[in-house]
Order: sequence, then structure tokens, then C-alpha cells
Amino acid sequence: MLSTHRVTAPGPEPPSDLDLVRQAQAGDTAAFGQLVERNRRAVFRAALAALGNPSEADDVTQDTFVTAFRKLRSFRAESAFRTWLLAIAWRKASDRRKSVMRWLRRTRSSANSGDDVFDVPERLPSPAPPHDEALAAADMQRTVRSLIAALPRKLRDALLLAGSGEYTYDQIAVMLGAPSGTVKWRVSEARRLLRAKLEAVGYGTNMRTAGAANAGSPTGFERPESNRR
Amino acid sequence: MTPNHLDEAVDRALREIMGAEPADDLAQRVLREISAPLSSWPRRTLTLGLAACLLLLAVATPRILRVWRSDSPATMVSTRVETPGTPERTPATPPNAASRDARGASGPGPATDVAEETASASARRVTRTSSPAARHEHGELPQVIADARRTQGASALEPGPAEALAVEPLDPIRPIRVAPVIQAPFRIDEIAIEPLEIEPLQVDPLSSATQQ
Repeated sequence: MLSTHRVTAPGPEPPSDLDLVRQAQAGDTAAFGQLVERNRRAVFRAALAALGNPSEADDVTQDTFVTAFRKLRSFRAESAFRTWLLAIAWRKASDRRKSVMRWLRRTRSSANSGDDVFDVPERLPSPAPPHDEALAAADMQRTVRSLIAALPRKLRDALLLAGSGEYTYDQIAVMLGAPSGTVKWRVSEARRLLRAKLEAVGYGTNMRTAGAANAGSPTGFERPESNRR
Repeated sequence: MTPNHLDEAVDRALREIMGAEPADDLAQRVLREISAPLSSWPRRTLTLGLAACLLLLAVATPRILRVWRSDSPATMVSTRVETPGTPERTPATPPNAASRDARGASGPGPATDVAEETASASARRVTRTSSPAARHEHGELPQVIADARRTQGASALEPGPAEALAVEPLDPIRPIRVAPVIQAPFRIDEIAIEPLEIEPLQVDPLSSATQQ
């Protein structure tokens, strides 16, 4: 089947990642700059999923690209450049997560940090009455965040990476060093646990009215098309 | 609220958590970093320097400890209790001396053994015969003892030419005037007693001649 897109698209096609890698291997730093621009969000979000802190994720992202540039000659194109890059990013983020200094810093500032994306500024809320829909939705989001943060690490990593919408399951499998089927099971198990816990804290069938009230609102729980899998 | 709504709530939370964007100047920072090859220089230098320091410390620590132990007051006191002329070593003799003795049986050879024994004997004599007052009076003595013991340790660790070198600084220690000072009272006593014992001997031949 012929593609009409190819006929109507003006100008030359942008170079592939592999082309840019070859140019960068030959010493073209501008080509590597394009690779950075193309992949920075994917790398950043992988680091964010591991660390939960945008500032630290930014550091890891920069470190990942610098390391990738220095090891670019060892890239044999046996996998996609992005997959190779994501594996480096995840390893660096995991190392940082394990580091003693980070643990000390988190312990010291655990009382009033507010930096991490998992931080919940208030205590776990009880289900709010449906008279204020926005307040109830915000309370629920805080609850969900705290429950995600409390998930076992392996389940949480898989859920966050899958939920970011940036990666395929194969890429996540390479990052986590687990088979693709295992990753899918972890995501499914994480969702099941979250559902069970949400029901346990009162967001179950007894909140049907709140769900019905939110169904048609712009701030309701409509899942956007881009995130459906 | 249906399970579907709960899933949607989870999806929304995930989007919020993972929705952060990287900094806009990330690419510039990366390019700046990779364009400056010396940027990682301080880190590498620090790492190498730290490794070198650790290596030096690991090599030097046993020697430092050995010298420190030989200079400690406990060793001084126990060595001073030795009786003059006793050939055995006291338990407070540095551990390297014992190992040197053990090595002497099947060690480098007779010449080396003699050199070692001379060195250790010199060091022992100095340690044994010098009282604390004398050591204070001649302020160099503790340093001499430390040097002698350090040389002993070096010769135990490095057999061969180092042992021959180790003897040379010890030889001038022998005529130290501290030894006669300690020996002098004993000689005077002996001189005082001897004439008393000789007198009856002069009488005996006469009495025996009379008897004959």
C-alpha cells in the first residue's frame, strides 16, 4: 500500500538516530546534540521514575548523555540507540538511588522536603463528600500518589515507566533487566494493588456518586486517548 | 466509583508524577561538558591522588606502628629490667627480633647472622645499661635506641645489603660511657674484698711448711 504521506511531505527526511550516531562517532558534536534533543525527555523521565526527584533526575540525565558520548565508540548498533541510552540512564539512576549520600540527604530533609514527586503535603485524606468535586478529586490524587509511593520498588518502577507513555515494554524490560512478560505482570499487579488499597481507604463502590459526578467534568477521571494502551 | 474510575485516577496520578519536563538548557550543558575534555580532570586527579595516599598509608602503617611500639614506655621499662650479661631476650623484645631469630636458622648465611647478632647486641646493651637519668642527660639516647630498633626492623624485612648497612651506625654506640658508670661500683667492691681473701692464703703455706 502506497503512503500518501511520503508524497506530500516536503523537504528531506531527518536523519535517523543511527545516522546521527555515526556522525557523532566521527567527532561531530552537533550531531550528538541532536541526539540529546531527541532523547532528553525519555532519559529524564526514566531517571525521574527511579529517583522521584526532578532535580536529581536532571543531574542523572546530563551525566547519562556525557557518559554515552564517551562510550559512543563501544555502541555496536545491536540495539536501538535509545534503548542503549535508556539502559545507561537507568543504571546511573539506580546507582544514585542506592547511594549513601542520597539516603542521608533524604533522611535529613524528610520532614519538610516537598521536592519529590511522591511527596504528599498532607496526611492521607479520608474520602471527601461529593459537595465539592474539585476538592474531592484533589484529595483522591494525593491518596493515589501516596499509595504509588508505598508500592514495592519493582512494581512501582514498572508502573511509573509504563505510565509515563515514553517507552515500549521491550525498552522497559531492557532497563529493568527483566523479561517483557514480567514487566507486564508487574504493571498489572501494581494496578491491582492500587485498586485494592483505594477501595480499602473508601474509594470503592460507596463512592459511586462521586464517580458519577466526575464523569462529565473536565477535571474528572477521563483517560486521554494518548495514554490508552 | 467503578474499578474503571479507579484506574483512571491512577492514570492521572501517573501523568502528574511523570509529567515533569527536563530543563531546556540540557543539551547545551551536555555539549559544554563533552566539548571540554579537561572538565573531568579535577575529579580524576582527586581520585588518583586519593588512591595513591591510601596505598602509601597501607605500606607505611606497619613500619610506623613498629617504631611507635618500640618507643613506647612499656617496652623501655621491661627492657631495662634485664640483668647484665643475660644472653636471652626479654619478652618485650620487638616481635621482629623473634622472627629474625627464627629466620636465622635457615636464613641468609653465617655472615648475615653475625651482623644481625652484633647489631642486636649493641642495641640491647645500650637499652640495658642506660638508666632513665642517663637517657635524659644524654638527650640523644632515646633517638639512638629508636634508630637502632628501626634499623633492626629494616634488616629483618629486607635481607641482604640492608643488613650490612644496618651494622654501621650501631658500631659507634659500643663505647658509650654509660656502661662503665654502671659497672664501676661492682669493680670497687671486688677490689675491696680481694686483699682480705689473699691474706689467709699467704698464711697457709707457712703453716703447711711448719707441719712438714
